[in-house]
Amino acid sequence: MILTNTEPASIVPPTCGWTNPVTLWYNPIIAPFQGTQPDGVFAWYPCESETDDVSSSFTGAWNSSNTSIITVNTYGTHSGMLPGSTTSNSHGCLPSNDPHRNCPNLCYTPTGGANTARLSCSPGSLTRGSSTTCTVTNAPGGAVFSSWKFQDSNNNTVTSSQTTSSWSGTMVIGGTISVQVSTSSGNSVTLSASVTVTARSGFGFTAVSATPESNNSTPSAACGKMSIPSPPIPNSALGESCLDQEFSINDQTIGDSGPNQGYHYITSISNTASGVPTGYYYVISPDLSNTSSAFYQAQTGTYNAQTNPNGYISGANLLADTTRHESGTVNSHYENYVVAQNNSSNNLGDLAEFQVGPPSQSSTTFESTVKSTLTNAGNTIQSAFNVQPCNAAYAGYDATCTFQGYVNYNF
Amino acid sequence: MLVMTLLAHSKDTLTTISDMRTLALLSAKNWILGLAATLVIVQPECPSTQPRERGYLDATPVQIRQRLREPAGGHSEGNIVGWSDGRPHQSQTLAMTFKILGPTELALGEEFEYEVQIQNTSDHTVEIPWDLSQRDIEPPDAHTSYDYQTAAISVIAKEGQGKAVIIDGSVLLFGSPSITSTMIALEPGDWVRIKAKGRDTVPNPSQAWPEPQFVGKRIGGTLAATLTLSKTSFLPGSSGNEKGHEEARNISVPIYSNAFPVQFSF
Repeated sequence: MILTNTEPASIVPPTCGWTNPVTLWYNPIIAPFQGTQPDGVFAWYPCESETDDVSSSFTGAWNSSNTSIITVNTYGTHSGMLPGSTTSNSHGCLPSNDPHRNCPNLCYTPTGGANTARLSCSPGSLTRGSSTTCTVTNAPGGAVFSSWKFQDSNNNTVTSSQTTSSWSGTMVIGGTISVQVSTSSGNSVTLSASVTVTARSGFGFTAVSATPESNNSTPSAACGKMSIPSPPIPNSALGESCLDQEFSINDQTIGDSGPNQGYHYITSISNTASGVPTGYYYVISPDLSNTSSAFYQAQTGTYNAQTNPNGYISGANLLADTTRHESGTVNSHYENYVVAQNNSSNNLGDLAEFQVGPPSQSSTTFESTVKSTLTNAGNTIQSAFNVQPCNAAYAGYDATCTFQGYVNYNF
Repeated sequence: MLVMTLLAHSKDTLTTISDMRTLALLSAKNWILGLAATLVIVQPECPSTQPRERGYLDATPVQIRQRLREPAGGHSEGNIVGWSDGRPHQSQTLAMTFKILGPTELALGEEFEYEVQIQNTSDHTVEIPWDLSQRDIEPPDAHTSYDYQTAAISVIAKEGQGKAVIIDGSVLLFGSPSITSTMIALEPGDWVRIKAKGRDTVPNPSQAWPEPQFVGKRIGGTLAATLTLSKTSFLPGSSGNEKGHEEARNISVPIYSNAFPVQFSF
């Protein structure tokens, strides 16, 4: 830039300066616990009848009366260290409103209350379905509380229009609760706290026992008649199991106007439905169970892996193997069921425990989603149950899956 | 031209005449076209024994009218039954197929459109709920109990060898036998199709999706659907309390669709 005018730029002495009131932006100021809040200084500028931001003249002179509660940096940013109340101030000099004396500087030390406010929830960690109360502490007197909000990890939100310093209610999903705290001086901060929800105990299903049934019986309506051909015919089954997984759930929609208002959750689950319990039922061929039967007697035990590999299994081994195949604790359909259902990824009770529906979901949708989830898991258990022990539908293997001979159907 | 117009407006009829020497003949002779047109026009007046599409529901643009009275809680029952030999535990009256409409690579949170076809595979007529709005089966009197049926279609995602989870995109169809417009009858072999939107995210905020080991990865998986038919009774709350209670019970075994292969980008 080239100056064409050789005269220096005119330096006009201020005809006006600033006067009281010289105040902090916020009095009191609220800093969130473990958060920050900026502050500054206003001064009255009478020539234009306005309040000016004169913070730059106060830079580097900020102080806190109790730095364990609140600290202030060079630029007036307050940091909440511990919940509590104290004061803070700054010092600075401003040209005065005295043009006749060439506006000498006057110095000021504006001071104000300083609060470290905190939102905390008690308890902050709770089991699903328990209640918590979230309260703002150390807010200055006269503070206004607004915009209560809960947000979960999927960004589902619940808001409340209440204006009290606390918000409480039943919690079924964790998340962040926040509230806006405002003072009459225009200071407004958002305080937040997290709530953790943990699983309830006692929801997991225990595997039911294997129950022997007589042939042609109907242990449950869902299983229907369990029937084994008698007498056995070539290649007919000698044993059969039915797994009937029943469940009933109770759900609830939270209606306490608290942080989880409108969420759905499962209050209880049972492995019984309409009085019908979950059952594992098995049937063994009556001709195999009867050691006097012609079929049993025809199982002569001539098999020998080396000398007679085409021989017959013994009646005793066939009965023991068939019973184990259906109901034993090793290499059996029953073991398959127990292992699968004890896996918490499949366990209907464990799954039901943490089923939660957001407020935007209707109760009918929530219930159908939960039922689909449980049915899907039950189907996984069912598929595991169907896997053939020792990789063979034939039951003539012992507990170590060693072949023990063929069945003699010629009797 | 006349025939093509008629066909375009009568998709189910097209299906029934698609076996009738099909469109190959349509290009042969004009008089055959005329005959086909005649058949198209006459066919709806004749009782058809041929399976056909009974309805098509596009649920993607629908603003569902929620009911006026949401219950405060409910009780639901279900069961899963099977024999050790793996044979079907009950005769299933319906079968369902599932397919994605559009790209089959899904980013986390991405919307997609899918279509299911539900077919009556039994030898008798089956009625299923056919109304997207629960309001339509809700009586105006708040103090009245009522029964209704639901057909719940849930979308199941499975990442690689991971566990299966229900993701966003369920469709609930409501119906009441006393409100005939809310039910649809499927004769043996008949089917309906439903188009809906899903989203690659889980509705349950407590459910981890994807599983931690799949975060940031592109992995093959499947989407499938289940269909559950239930009967529900709504019981109104006590006087002055409009919040009621519901009791639901499955009225059919769950129907599983095919597993449709997709790529998940997490």
